[in-house]
Amino acid sequence: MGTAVNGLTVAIIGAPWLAMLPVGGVLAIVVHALAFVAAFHGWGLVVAQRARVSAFLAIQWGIAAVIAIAGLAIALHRYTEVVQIAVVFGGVAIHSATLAIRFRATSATLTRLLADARWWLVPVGAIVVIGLLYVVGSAGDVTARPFDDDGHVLGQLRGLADTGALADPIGAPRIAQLGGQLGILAIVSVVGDLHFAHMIDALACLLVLGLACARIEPRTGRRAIWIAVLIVVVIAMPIAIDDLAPTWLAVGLIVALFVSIADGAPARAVGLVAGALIALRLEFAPLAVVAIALAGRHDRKRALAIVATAALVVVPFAIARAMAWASVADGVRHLAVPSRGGLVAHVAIALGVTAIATPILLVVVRGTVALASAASLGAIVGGVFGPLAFGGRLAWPIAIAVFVVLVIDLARQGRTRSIVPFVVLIVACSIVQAGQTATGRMRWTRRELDLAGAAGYIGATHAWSPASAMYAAAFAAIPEGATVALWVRQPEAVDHAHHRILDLRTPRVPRARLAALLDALHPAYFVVEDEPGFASPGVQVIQVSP
Amino acid sequence: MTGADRALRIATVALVLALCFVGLAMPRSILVGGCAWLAFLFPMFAGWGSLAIRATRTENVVDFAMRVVWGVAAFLAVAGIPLALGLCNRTVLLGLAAIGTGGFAWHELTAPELVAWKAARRAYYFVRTHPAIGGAVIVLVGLALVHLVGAVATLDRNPWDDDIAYTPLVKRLLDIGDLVEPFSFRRLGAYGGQTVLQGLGAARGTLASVHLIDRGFAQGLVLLLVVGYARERRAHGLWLALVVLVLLLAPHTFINTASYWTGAAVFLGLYRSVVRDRWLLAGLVAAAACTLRMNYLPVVALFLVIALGFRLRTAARASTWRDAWRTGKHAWIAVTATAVVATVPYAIASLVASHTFLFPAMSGTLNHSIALSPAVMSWTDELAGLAWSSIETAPIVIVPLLFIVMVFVTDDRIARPLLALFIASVVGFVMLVHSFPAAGPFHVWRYAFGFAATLTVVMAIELAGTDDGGEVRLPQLGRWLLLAALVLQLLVTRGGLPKLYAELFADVGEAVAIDRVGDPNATAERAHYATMQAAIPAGARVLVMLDDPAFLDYQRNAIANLDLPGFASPGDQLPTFEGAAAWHAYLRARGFSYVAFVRSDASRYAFRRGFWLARMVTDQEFFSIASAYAIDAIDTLAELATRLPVIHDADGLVVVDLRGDAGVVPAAAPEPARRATFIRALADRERLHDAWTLTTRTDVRFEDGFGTATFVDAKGEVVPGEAGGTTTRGLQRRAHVRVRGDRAMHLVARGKVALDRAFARPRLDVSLDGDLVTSSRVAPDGSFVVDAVIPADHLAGSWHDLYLVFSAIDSPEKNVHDLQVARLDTLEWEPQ
Repeated sequence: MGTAVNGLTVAIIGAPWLAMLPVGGVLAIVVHALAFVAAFHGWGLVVAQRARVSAFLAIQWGIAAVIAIAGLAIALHRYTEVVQIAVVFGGVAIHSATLAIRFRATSATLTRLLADARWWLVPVGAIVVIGLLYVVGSAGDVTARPFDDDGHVLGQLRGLADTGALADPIGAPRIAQLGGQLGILAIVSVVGDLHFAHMIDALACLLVLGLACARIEPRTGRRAIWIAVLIVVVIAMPIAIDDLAPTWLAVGLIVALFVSIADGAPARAVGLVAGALIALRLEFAPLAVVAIALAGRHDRKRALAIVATAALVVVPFAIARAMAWASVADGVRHLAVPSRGGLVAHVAIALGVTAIATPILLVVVRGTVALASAASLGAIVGGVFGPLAFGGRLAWPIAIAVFVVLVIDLARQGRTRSIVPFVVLIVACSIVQAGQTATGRMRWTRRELDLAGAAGYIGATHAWSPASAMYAAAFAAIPEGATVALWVRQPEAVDHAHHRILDLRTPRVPRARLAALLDALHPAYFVVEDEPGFASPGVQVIQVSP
Repeated sequence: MTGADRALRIATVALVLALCFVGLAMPRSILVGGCAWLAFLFPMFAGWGSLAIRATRTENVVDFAMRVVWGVAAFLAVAGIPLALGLCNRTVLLGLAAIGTGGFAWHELTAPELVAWKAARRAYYFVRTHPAIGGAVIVLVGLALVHLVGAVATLDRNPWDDDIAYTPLVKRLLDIGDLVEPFSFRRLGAYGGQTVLQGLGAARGTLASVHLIDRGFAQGLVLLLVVGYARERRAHGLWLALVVLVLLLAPHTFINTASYWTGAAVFLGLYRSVVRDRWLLAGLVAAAACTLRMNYLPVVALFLVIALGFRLRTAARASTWRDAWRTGKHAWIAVTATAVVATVPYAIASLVASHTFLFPAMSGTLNHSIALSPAVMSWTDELAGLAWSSIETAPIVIVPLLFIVMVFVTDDRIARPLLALFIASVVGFVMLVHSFPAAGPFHVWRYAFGFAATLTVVMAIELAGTDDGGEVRLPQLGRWLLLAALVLQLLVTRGGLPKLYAELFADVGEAVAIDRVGDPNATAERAHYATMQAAIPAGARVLVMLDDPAFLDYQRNAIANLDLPGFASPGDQLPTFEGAAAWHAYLRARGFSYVAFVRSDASRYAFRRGFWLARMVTDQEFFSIASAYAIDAIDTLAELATRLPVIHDADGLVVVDLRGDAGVVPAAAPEPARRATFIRALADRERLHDAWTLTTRTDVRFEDGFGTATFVDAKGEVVPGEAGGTTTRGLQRRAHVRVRGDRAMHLVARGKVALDRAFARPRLDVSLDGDLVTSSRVAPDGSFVVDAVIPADHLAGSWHDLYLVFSAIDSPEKNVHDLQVARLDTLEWEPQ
């Protein structure tokens, strides 16, 4: 047993470094996923310092820390591919070094866990298998939507890797986000292909389940059943996540926020997670703010520390955003981001929804969770940060997080004599059944089959990006450093390092406003790829101004 | 024994004899005769059970249902011997029924307590003393009876399986007592236990009630076994009612008369035998299960090995392994010996009929050129298949939830039967998915119904009546989850109930009408077949390819049934795709003097050429190949009828005298090459060349990212294959084809993107094994053409992955309908 545990400890310390090896295909995805987890853990340990924290909660803190680092680096225009790699392997180094220093303690923890494997072995095994399918399948889902509702995410990731900044106000106008999502997704460049970006959110799903498992501590059959129920509900629920807006990353951070607050975690950890949530999507800001307010209501000093840390995460992103807008003429913003007006009405609706949702949520979850979640749901329904058509998608992470917290609480409290667990089980069964019978991509089977099928595409990465050569040829005619307005299908295949790129072809900029936008931006060149009724076939370079 | 007791016992026996008499005396009566025969089968099998209990010197303290299931096992074990000898005809089956009736009478007249009338009296007093519960029980019993009567009354059969294979097998058995059908694909994959049981069901004189055994008798037996076990385990009545309702109302996925409920009944009996530590009888029941469906064999074997293994381990913990083996080996020997002895006759019968007793491990008369699995299966394909079948689990839709529950059950009994059945079922399920990768979850769960239903039922009963301190334990939360899952199962099935009961009562109405005035359709059809057979000299050997071979008299002629042409044949095997002369030479060499077939334009279902033609270019690989064989058989027999004397040609039924000269047999290539050439030539001849290019074939395999091939009209609307039109496959944004070739190959793909829905003119990138082959943008009208030559050195080795990836074909917001946005009309892959 002792040798085996020591071997396992060594594997945990050393396995993430396999990402340095020149492996390809599915194995590359797996080892890089391990490296990411280790990196998050490493940065989480930095946040935790001497505080005792479970590995999976530390990982969530680590995700928040990476977002914070990304924000600082983006504000300084230094979040290039090299820095992204450094962030990942820096975290891995901290993970390995810390575990090596704490070798005996780590081995002792593993020994204790393995001795009591009767109840957790099956759920953990299921999480690993499902996680593998999700991560590998999502990585292979290279033809999935490259957008979130704010812009072409892959294009912005390429710009970030090439320039270290998010200086394109059109391509990433970030109406409802500050750039945290781009900051965390950027680490996928370590794998070598931005098309694998979907694997990050899938990995976050695995980490959420891990966090729930760690919180529940399946020492009894009852607790293990709750975890199993959660796992099945998570994989079966009829939602189709096919874009790059945050889902599981948000779920993980929301759960981590509530858990950290409940545990009385260090203020820096709570602030970091709250700030990361706000940086991820502004729709989560009400949730973070309410949670912070409730967490610090009895301790002003702690409240200040939380707010200060959150601000440390949010402010650099805000500065980067302000700088991006400042780099273009005033009128551009109005053209790129149509004014929605009526903020008071939006806020009023938000407050109304919050008032209705809070008591409903209070029936099943504790006060902080209910009020904070209701606040964000209100903001989403009220359209405070953007239209409901786009923001509505963000209600899912909140709902899922509430369900995860509810299951964790039920499992830990052991309220088996109450009616609530039975009702939750009925709801869980119904969700599973809904997943079985849903249509299209919401159907449980369809999603799993897509994932299994997508894994086969990992080995053929360049099959869908032959555009690089085409774009490179077009850009060869443009002087280095020129400002280029871009309207192409695959902006991630464009070299952003040698020109200032303004990506106009996003869902946010209708073609009707394109001419006015070009007038306002006044770029030196306009590179356009053929559109029906727009230009002649192929990539065209149009000189707009001398 | 008092005088009244004796009188009531005699009355019980008399009642059973009366049921038997009514069944036999009214062979044309579907409802009255059928229900009487159904009711008779229970005590008859119970009689066999009593004899088995006596023979094995087992303590006779079991409920009626266990006696019945042991009786079924004993009956099948004994019936196997005449089957192997080719003597298991109607007379023998009725003789065996008489033995069972005698066993029942002996039990009723001699047993001290467990006799029928006393059980009936106890039930009566229970209802009187517990009127509320009694009322619910009466409702449930009434519901169950409605289902059983409905099963007797249902005359609909599956034309693809029952009409052309299963029912003719029953007729053959009743007429001549064997199942020697070397040309039958269905016979190849079955030991024959289900056919023997169906033979008994039909032995009263009619083949009409094809569902009497499985949906009638076996479903009733399952319910009785459940009730008996629930009483034994003292399960709460609410749970029992829930389980009974789940069983009764489960969605009907049983598409033919193969083993479903019979499988569940014997698995339940096997489980209960193991729980009771009755290993000798467990071996008998295990053998019965194996004779019903070959895919039950690994589950049965694993279940028994695991249960006995647990038993041995538990004993070894108290002493040593040596001592444990010394005391426990009798159980191993008892199970193995009984199971082997009871199975061997069926294995012999299968060996005689199909030259195999372990299909598909031993292929027997299966066409050696046909693979039952896809030519290429990657690990992702296997994974996808397993995931698919693990999620879509109808008729028991709650399997994923039950799995959660089962994982956390603790079974402290010496043989841990629940855990053993769980492990065996999971392994059996995975083996099923692996063995039938193209089958899909519907068929996988059809095949798995026997053990899946049993596991569901016993799990519910084991956990229903126990608290945390019992032998079978589960945290209370798990029991709640189980309860919630069972409720959900009922809720899910509610939508189909109106249709279910509407059909059921319509069937009963039809049966009543037939009882009154007869079945004119069947009478007319029977007359056509009789006229046809009369044209063939008595005693002559004849090969038939007919819609309803069950109308034939198997005693009059030596008949071989071609149920799925080309898939099974003895000796050198049927020379498919070689023409009429080759068939003629082969059949003459096998001693056939006549061939009878139904003309394509007169066939009811199975041998319609146009139907198979459409299926050949639109269905999945297995059925596409089956279609080619069917068309070849249809064409070849039609050609034979032009070359040789036709001695009967009426009502679409043709008899050809083979004793002439059909011409010279041409030299032929190996069958796979012949088949490929035939399919292509046929497609070209029928103007289906483009459709053919969209089929999986020897050097092209359509994998993920494609919709099924469908016929569409000029407007792109889907039309039936027989109605013409062109064929097309929906394309997802990424699509995967496997190709191979031994020289440079020319790839041409044509299709179209619906620009008005894609809102773009996407680029199509084609890559082979990750190397870009070509990249082009779709034309202004949305059409695209890929035209490329793949050098020979790129095609070295076996299969290669060809990916077709669009830069976009869908609106970013609406991916759900992506299949409707792009389509592939042709994919040529020809030598350069």
